[in-house]
Formats: sequence, C-alpha cells, structure tokens
Amino acid sequence: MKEIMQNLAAAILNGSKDSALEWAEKGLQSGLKPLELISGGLTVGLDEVGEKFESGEYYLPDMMLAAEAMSAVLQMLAPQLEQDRDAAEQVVKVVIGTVKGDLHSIGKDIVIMMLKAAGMEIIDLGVDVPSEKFVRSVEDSGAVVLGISALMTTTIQEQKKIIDLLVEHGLREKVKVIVGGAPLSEEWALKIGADAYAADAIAGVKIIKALLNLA
Amino acid sequence: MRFEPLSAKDLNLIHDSTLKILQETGALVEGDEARGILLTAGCLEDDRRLLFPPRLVEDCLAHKVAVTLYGVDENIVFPLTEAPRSYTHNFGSVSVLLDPADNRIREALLQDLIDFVRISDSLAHPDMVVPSLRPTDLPEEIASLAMTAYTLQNTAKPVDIGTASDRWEISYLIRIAAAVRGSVEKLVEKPMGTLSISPLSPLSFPADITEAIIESARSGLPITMLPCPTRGLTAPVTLAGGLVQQNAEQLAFLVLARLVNSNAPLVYTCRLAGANMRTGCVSGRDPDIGFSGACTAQLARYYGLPSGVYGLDTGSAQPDLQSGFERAIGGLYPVLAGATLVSGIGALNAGLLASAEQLVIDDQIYAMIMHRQKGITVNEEAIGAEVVSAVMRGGHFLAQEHTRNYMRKGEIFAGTLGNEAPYEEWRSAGSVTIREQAREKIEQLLAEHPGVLVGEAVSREIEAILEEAKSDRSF
Repeated sequence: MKEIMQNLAAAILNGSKDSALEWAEKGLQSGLKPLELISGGLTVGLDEVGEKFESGEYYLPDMMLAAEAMSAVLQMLAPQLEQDRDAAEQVVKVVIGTVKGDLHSIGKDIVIMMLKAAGMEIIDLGVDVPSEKFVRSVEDSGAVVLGISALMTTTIQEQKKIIDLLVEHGLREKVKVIVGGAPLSEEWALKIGADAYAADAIAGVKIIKALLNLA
Repeated sequence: MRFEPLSAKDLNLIHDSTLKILQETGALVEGDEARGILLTAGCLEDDRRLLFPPRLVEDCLAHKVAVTLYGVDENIVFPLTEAPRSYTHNFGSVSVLLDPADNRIREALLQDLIDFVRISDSLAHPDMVVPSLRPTDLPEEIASLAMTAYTLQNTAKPVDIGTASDRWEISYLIRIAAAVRGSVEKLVEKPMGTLSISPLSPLSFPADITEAIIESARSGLPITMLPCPTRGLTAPVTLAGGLVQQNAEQLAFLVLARLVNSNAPLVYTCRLAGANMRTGCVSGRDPDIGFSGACTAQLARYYGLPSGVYGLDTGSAQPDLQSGFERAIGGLYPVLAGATLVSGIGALNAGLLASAEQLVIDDQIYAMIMHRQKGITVNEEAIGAEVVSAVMRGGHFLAQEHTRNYMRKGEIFAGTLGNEAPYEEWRSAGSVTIREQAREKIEQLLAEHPGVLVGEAVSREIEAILEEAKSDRSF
C-alpha cells in the first residue's frame, strides 16, 4: 500500500500521466478507495509540486504537467468517487474568465488546471467575456467562487464593473471573488470590493481553499 | 560583414517545415471574406482551420514587391528592400511612463506623446517614429487614430501609420495619413509609414484581423505583418520551433494579403520572445530576443522581404546598468545580421514602460551599435602605410591629412552622452550621470523643436476627421 501511495505521489511530482494512471489503477485493484488515493497519494504529490514551485525549483511546465496528470487520475476515479461521496458534500464550483476587451488566456488556463487538480469543477467562460455573462453564469451555475482575470491596464476596470453588477443582482454575498492579472495588486482587489487577489496559480488555490474553509 | 546564424540547410528545413505545418495543420482563419478568398485560391477546410497547399504559398512568395518608405517630409527616403543599413524605430503604445521629474511612474498624457515624438524627431535615432505612448486622456474609442494624428504632425520622419485592429480603424488611419500627404494617391505613391497588423499566436486570424489585412492590402500601403509568438507559451519553446511557427504565421498572412493585392508591399516583422517560465509573462531579460531577431532577418532575406525585429529590450524598470547591457546584447545581433528595421527605442520593462531619458540614451546606444554595421574597409589608402612612414620620420599622427579625413568619415566614434573623463575631472565637473545628461538634453530638444510641422489647414482637416470618427464610433 505504502509503495502504491509513494509511486502515485512521485508520478504527480514528475508530471507523468501514464505512471499516475497506472499506479492509481494498481491502488484500486489492491482495494484502496478513491478518496484514500487522493489524500494519501495525489494530494501529497501536488502539495510537493506547490512547494517546489514556491521555492523556485519548479517552473510552469512542471506545474502544468503535474496538474494534467492529477486531472487524468481524477477523471478516471470520477464515477466511483461519485458513489462514495457523502450526499451532503458538494463539489466546489468555480466560474472563471478573462474580462471584455482582453484576450489573455495563459494565466487563467494555468489557474484552471490547478483548480481542476484540486478537485474543483470549473466553468471556463474563455476570454473577452462581457460582464453580464460572468454574472449570469454565477447565477445559473450556483458557483461559490468567481475568478476574474485581466492583463491590461486598460481592461482591469472591467473587474470592478463585474463586482458592481454582482451587488446589483444581489449575488455578491453568495460568491467569493478572486481577481488576478499582472497589473493588479492586493490594494486594487480591496479597492474594487473583491475578496482576494492571487499573484499566481498556487496562491490562487490556497486562497480559495482558505476562503471556503477547506482543508 | 554579416552575422548569419542559420546555414543554408537550416533555412531550407525551416521553409519545408513551415510549408508542412501550413499544409497539414493550417491556420485558424475567421471572417467570411477571407475564408472565401483563400478557399477559392485552393485552400482546404479542416474544421475552422484552413490548410494551405505548398504550391499556393510558393506562388505568392515568388512575386517580389519592393518596399520604400518616405518621411512625412518626402525628401527622406528609406529603401527597405536592399536597405543600405538598419533603420531604427521606437517602441509603440505604452500607456505608462517614467516621469523624469521624480523617477515615478504615471499615466501618459497627450502632451507626453507629443513630447516623445518631438524628441524622437530631433535625434538621429529613431529613424522612424512610432507613436510611443497611448495617452489616457484621449477618448478610448479613437485613441489609436489620435496617436497617429499627433505623431504625423510633429515629425518629418517616417512613422508607423498605426497598429490597426479592424477595418474601421484602417479606413480612418488612411484618411488621416492622406490628409498629411495631400491625397490617398500621393500617400500610396510615397507612403510615410506602414500599417501594422498582428495575428494571434499560434496561427490564429480572427475576423477583425482578416478584415484589417484585406482592407490594408487593397489600399496598397506597406503592411507590417506582426506576429508576436512567445516561446513556451504561444509557440514551441525551442528557437527552431518558434522560428518555424512565426514563419508559418507570416506566410499565411502573406498569402491572404497577396491574393487580395499581388503588389501589396509587405514587411516580415516578428517579435519572437522568450517567456519567464515562472510567471508566464514575456521576458525582458532574454538574450535570445536579439538572436531570434538575427534569425528572423535572415529568413526575411531568404524570401526577399524587408525585416523588422526587436532590438533594444530590457526587463529593468529604470534606465540603469541592467537596461544598458541588456539593450546592447539585444541590439547588436540583429544589426550585425542586417535586419531592416530594429525596434525598442525608449521602452523599459519588456515594453510596458516608456522613458524619455532612455529614449535619449538609446540614440547613442544605436549609434554605437550601428558604428561597425558595414564592417571595415581594408585597402591601401585606409591602411595608410605612408602615414606611419611620415610619423617615424618626425611627424605626428594628429598632423596628418589622413587622420583628419578618416576622422571626419567617422573612423573614430564620437559620442555625446556619458563620461570618459578621469574620475577627478568628472567629480569636479559635478559628478554628472548619464541620466542627468539625458534630462538636460530632453529640455534642450523640446525647447529647440519647431513644434507642429504641418500647415494649419492640414491640422484643421485632421481634427475634423478625428471628430467625425468620434461621432461615428459613438453610434
């Protein structure tokens, strides 16, 4: 069992999708539950990826490949996970997109990979998204987190517009709003009434978990 | 003398790989008119991507069109095809600047743009003036048009007519440039700049962009084809892979433009950059910026097209030591490779921050980089053995005609900025830094610049066009 968990964690750490799937399969065959594989193997590996990124040893491709390997295993485990899940337990839904007038997608896509790897459900609105669409999507999906990306000094105002619209529609209290993008700061996030600013994808996942009081 | 990093074999493999990508993967092309033109010419549909037959690409490449730029003052002539040297220009569309007064950043205003243009007009470099700043006190809907309008009125040099993002903008940019030249016909005959259009990487041409390409090609004005892939983010991480992808983006652009107008003058302009692999942003500390520019210049020459590449670049947020050495490394490669147009004057922070001090210092950096672009002339007259003989018999080198003649021809570089005095002399003269010298020069150049260079009637006409555009856009 220990060998399986260690190899699963190592596969995530190395960003090796094939090896991660193989060891997850072996784990299931030996009678381990999906949730055990996640907490004892996958998450251990992903946490180490986060640490290595923060310490400067890992770069974005290391992180993306690890997140892809993680997502592949989660997808394989999904049907059984659904059965095991406590009925009261909800999957965290996140709506995310890049604001109107802004075509930057890379940062947003990295965040999506990491959130998926953390087991969250993502509704990706894409880029150049009108503010009304963000609000409608939050309302329709019942998402508890909204991520808004803007990369240009000329488009960051859109973030405020979206938050104002959420207030107008009485949705602001129902959703945690995280903003991201190169020209932003903590100060800006507070000024426009967001819940938090995340400087990178690793920080983003941590902040969302903290805001939702998740382990 | 030329620095040519790619061998003939490399060039052929890059070309063949490009044709293969265009044929097998193709490009995402949107816009009914562009799709119609390309499908009629023999492209095939694969989902929303269009596949380009190699024959079509080769045919469009075979037709050579010379590109010549003129100044706003039409006595200034830059033959971009077979250019005798590299021409320099500044970076464009930065909305934040480093204020020389307090070394803090602030939003750029219209007067800053006008000042940048006038400083650029007065210096030897840039040769060509790109609207450096995107002023925040201009109405957003016509900001691009106004930037071109105010640039054209304050310099005699060639300009960038504009970075166009759709058909509407192109039509107004052409009207503004035509107002300065006298008529659209005269503008096409003696264009004072190019229209710049950027597809998205990898290999994507949204509808607005294809419409802009079609409109520009029809106009007959020179077009700067301007893909900006970033290695590792929007292109393969390797220099070889990045060059091939940007080449495919260039050739797809070229095919569409040439099918619309077989005589469309095109400039092969690339901004292949490296990424910061921790932040996912374009790196300003990338020594490959200049090197990839040298490769790009070679590829453009391979196709008989003029080239445009990055040159001076830095990650630094100050005109400092870092900025100095990064700019020197970035600028030297493409100039030695014979790139036609080299960019970067006046920008810091990987192009996100403008600095008038840097603009003035860059004049000298480019002058030093250009100093030996042509290499060295070795002949008997230049060697001057008789001068050695004369001096050995009791003369002095300083008193030789040979010395004076060659000095006047620029054999010894004479800079105007920076220090070379011994320490004590430098200190007793006030320990002046190069940035202080630059600030003094900014004041001096602005005080001496004659101001608006076009007639009052032209200025009024331009204002009327801007007003019309504004009311047009607000509907």
